[in-house]
Amino acid sequence: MNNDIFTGRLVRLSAEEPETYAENFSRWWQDSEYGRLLDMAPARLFSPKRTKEWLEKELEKDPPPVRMFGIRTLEGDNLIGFVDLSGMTPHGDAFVGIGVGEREYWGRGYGSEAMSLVLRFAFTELGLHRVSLMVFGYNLRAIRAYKKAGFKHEGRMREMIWRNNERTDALLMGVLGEEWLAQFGGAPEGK
Amino acid sequence: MNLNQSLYLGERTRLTRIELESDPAALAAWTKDAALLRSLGEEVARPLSVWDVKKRLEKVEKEMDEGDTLYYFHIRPREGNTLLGWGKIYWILWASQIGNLELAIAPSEQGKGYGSDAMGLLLRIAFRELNLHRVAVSLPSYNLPGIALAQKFGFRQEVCRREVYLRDGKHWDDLSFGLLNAEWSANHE
Repeated sequence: MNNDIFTGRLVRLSAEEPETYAENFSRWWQDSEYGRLLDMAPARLFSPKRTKEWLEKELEKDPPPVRMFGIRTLEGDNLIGFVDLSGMTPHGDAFVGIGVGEREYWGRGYGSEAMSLVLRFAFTELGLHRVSLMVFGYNLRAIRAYKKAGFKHEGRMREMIWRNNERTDALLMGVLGEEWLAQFGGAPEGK
Repeated sequence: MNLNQSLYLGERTRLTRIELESDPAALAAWTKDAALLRSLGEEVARPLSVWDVKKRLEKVEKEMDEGDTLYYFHIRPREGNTLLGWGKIYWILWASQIGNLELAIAPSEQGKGYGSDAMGLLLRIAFRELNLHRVAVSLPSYNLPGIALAQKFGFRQEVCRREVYLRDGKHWDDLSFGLLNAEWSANHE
């Protein structure tokens, strides 16, 4: 049994204090592009206090309804983003959310690797049957990364998002555990 | 503008408030078998007590009173007070003018045209009062009457999330349907 499942070549999945998440989330949301790529709800400036209180409530539940990880670089041990699994159902489905808040790590494979690591957790530890995600039609970089991580296109909800006076579709993607294990199973990438 | 036509009154049904005294018993009775909860989605079907249901309905009322993203109705026949089912427009995101719709009719009252009538009322509220740009419905792939009803009202299948449900030892897909205000309006007025 391979127990070294949280560390890749560029990043590792970390546990952070609610306060650390809250301070960084609040800072990352000051970048409106980050918020508009991540969330359908209007971009806003969350206070660290509100985020901390919400997270403390969620993370102290056992088992936690949201499986939240920090993304830390192996080099320098910088916290650059988060990835979480939420909405877990008794049928083995969950939604994944990911955000790389530090712009200098965009488009360099850091987020992709964090996604691979959280899928490894979902399928080899959590025992999920599938993982779902929603991504906005304008987020081409993310769509490419998700395909690379093993997600398949499952549909397109038309005209879901109204931003900059444009209507954009939302794409639904999913990956089954058996598909993922057939493609990526075995030793963690690069080990 | 014709305001005489009630938003809540259909040809066979009407949309009403929750009656906290009498409705929980009716709803609880529908959970004696798994049909209704299984037809809707991921929630684990199980017998619910009157108390269970009452707590849920109180939460619904609280959510409606404190927020503006849920419109929930109990469906009754045009004449009489029997509870036939519920309908709701939920997860409304005002910034994008979108929402989801759920409609449930008691197993014993299905096939009598109540669902169709209530669907017409809910869509009129969604598109002519809430001014939503689009409405989505999601259904397990085994809920054929639900799928037929959505398609009858012009919903188009947009998404098939594979193997989302595990029931009777088999996996089933989750289908999601969308209806745009413009599509609905083309057939109304």
